[in-house]
Amino acid sequence: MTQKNHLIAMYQSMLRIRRIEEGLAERFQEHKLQSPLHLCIGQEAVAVGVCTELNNNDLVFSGHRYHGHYLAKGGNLKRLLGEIFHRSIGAFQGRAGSLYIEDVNVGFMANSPIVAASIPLAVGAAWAAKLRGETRIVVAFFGDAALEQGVFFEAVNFAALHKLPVIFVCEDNGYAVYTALKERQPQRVVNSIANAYGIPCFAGDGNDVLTVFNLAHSAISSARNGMGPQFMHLVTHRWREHSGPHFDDDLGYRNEGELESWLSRCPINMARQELENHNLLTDKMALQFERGCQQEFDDTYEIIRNSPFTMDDYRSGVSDVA
Amino acid sequence: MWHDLEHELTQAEAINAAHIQVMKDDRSTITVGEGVRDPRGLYGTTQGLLEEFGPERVVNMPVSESGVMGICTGAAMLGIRPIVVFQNMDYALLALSQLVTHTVRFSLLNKTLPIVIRIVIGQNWINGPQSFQTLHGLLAQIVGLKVVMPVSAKDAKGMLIQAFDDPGPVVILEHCWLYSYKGLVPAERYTLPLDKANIIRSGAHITVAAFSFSVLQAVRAANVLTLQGIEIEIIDMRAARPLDINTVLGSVRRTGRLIVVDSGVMDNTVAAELITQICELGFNLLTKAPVRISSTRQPVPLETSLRDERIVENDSMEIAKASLGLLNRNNKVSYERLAELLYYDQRLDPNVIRV
Repeated sequence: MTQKNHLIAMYQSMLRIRRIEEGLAERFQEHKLQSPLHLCIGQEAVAVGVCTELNNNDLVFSGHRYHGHYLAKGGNLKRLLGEIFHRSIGAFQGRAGSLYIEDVNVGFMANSPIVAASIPLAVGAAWAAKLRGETRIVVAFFGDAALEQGVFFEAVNFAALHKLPVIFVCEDNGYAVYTALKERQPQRVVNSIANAYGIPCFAGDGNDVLTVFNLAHSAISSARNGMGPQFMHLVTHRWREHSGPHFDDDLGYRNEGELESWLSRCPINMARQELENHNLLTDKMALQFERGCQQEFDDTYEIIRNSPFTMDDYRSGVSDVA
Repeated sequence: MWHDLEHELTQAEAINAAHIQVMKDDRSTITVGEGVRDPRGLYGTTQGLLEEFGPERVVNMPVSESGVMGICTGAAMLGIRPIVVFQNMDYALLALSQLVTHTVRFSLLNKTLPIVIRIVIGQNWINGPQSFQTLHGLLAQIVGLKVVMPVSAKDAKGMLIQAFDDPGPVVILEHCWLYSYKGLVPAERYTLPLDKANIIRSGAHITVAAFSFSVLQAVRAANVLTLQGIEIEIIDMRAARPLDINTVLGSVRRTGRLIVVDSGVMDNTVAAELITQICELGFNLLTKAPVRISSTRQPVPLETSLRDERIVENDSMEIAKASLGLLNRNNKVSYERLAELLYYDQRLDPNVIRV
């Protein structure tokens, strides 16, 4: 029952992320001042399934494809769009651009454009929580390529050694830009990497938000109960190009039919189907959700478009650093 | 009065005293690094911390420099105050990505991220070309990072405490040959600025701006040059970033001549930057082209005698030679006399070098 109540909220949350990402893709090119844009369209279920189980004071760290994680954690859209479009109402007053976000009010601590590099930050935050006797847990979101970085293993080793309350979430979308997983890593079960450090691994379909939610529930409960770090391996797919607003399947780096098969397993459609099967979602409600998402994006975008650029501060030397 | 108490301490003991001070001041301070609990306590600098503050606050880290830098940055974001120790510069290189991309950048974006990073520099053993490099020029390029290089024991304590009080990340480069260097150190809590050079010896003829251990090599040269009637003014630069240009400029205004001595490599260095800025700001003050002196243009050799010759003796002799050159007194007799004088004063122990 609880699950079903959550499912409605999770459907809404995924829809919100999807519409914001699509809105960003559409509006992005209108702006002369651009930052790299890493859209998470297709991967919404991972962010939402995990973050639904988090409290406000739990902390999240992420990588370059962070929009979904930030929004699912309760992130403020004005802060996000403001930063992406370099406005002074952005998270860092527009000084950082699209590659960084932070919002301590919702527990989104930091992200990093360097693959795997924010994982030790998450572990450090979990260490701080433990040293201070705080009850919160920390989640590190990262992609499959993080398992190729040394600092991932360094951070996991330390977390396991000190039994820190951290969840490592590997959001495996199969590609590092254009390079497929099989060209980068040997064939293996990812579980075994976590298990080698004595860390339980929860693996499953990253496009099925209920699966993600249930796995996250188990992992997060264990971490809260002092069982130390937990690992999640969730397989999903990025629909659009690595960076930018377009589809790029014409480049041919994916397998034949791969994108189509993922499109047919859209996390939002799957959730909607599940809701309809249980008569939890009427067409009227669905339309209402749609309108709400669209309205939020349009209104926020209008505010952003009319707010000042941060570059004015730069020009006047206010932002100079010694 | 009690607060006037001063003790004669080695630099290592002074650093240890600063550690104890800041760990007492703030319960969220932790000292971490590979080997901070070692029986020898990292040249004595972390001696006794474990006993006094316990295992939660004095933490031996796994051999994972990049992870350590990232973990400490993450902990600092949550209000923990880490003092991170790297046993040499070459290990710290592994931590550079975290330091540059996260520690420094988050401190710039969020306006604050206090974290102290101690790195040991200088050759403490026969380490060969891959160990104990002195790469402060590399760190000095990082916008938003402070990089200091204390020489005296008093400076080492006061600057470590100031680094702790600083709202942003500060790297302290500690030359291992200076750990045994003794000096009077106030017992109380005090701070010294991280951006002010210190004129440790006045002289009318030549300004010698020196970094880290090179300061003592300049003093050796000065002790010999004074017998020849030449007085050099020695500036302990104290920091590689920011450079205290004004102090050097003021001195050059008096002397008209500049020698910069650095303990690192010769090219593309902090010494080069210092000379550039002096030329930009005070070209007309210089009566001669400035001179830079450094250990080597090549990797430090493995073999001890070669290494000592290149690093220890060479620099003092080079300073003396350059001084004679700047004063048009570079004849053969002078060189031989200087070499002879330096020969009798060539011991490595910094405590025999009288400032």
